[in-house]
Amino acid sequence: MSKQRIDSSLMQYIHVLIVTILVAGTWILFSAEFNPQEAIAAIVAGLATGMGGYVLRKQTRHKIFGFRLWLKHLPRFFAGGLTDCWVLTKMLFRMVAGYPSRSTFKKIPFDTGVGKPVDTGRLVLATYGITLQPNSYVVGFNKDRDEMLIHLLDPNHERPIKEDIRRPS
Amino acid sequence: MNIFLLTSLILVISFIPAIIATIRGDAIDRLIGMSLGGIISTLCLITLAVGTGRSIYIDVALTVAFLSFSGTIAFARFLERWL
Repeated sequence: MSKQRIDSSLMQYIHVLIVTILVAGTWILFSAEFNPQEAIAAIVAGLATGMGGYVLRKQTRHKIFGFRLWLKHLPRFFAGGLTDCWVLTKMLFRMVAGYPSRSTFKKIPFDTGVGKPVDTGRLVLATYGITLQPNSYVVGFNKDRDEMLIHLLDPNHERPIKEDIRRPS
Repeated sequence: MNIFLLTSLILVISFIPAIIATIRGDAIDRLIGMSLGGIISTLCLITLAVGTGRSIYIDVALTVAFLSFSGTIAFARFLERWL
């Protein structure tokens, strides 16, 4: 058996093991207790899920572990979280110190589309993505003017919306 | 640790051949491995339910059994197309 075959086989075992650990950990987390019974049940659930997922992935040739793809975005994820924390802390200190709030409403051009599923998907994505950020909140959409009304805590930290979300491709 | 928990632990160990068959085998071996894994997990959860006296494991076992059965049927149907 060649070295490449052994490495590939080992990686597949590691993939199943990672899924097993993740599912087992989630099971224990939700059951909120750790004893031998729960550990066995968690391992069984993890192994069954890991095997099922592996078989499906193998048959459909779908690669779920795009580590490099995720790693590329990981620094931005942490940087975004730190920036959000900084913006919120700054605004909180401004409010406590008695400075006037800089929060404002802003209208952004946003193609709301013609009601196709892809347009609804863009609206939902934009609403979730913007509202989940602590600095911004989607108030609503004006379908006649193709605008989106958002509320910004700090206008200096506004983040641009990706073009393929803003307009139908 | 009572006899039922010991049984469930041994059943967990018996997952190993199923995993090896799933990873090393071809499409049919993978199907058999997955089916075996479903049966083992169902049995394991049932013995856990009896051993611990918690009926919630029975519910999980029933769900796993149902999903495993329908999953195997669906997979076999698609396998027919892929082969």
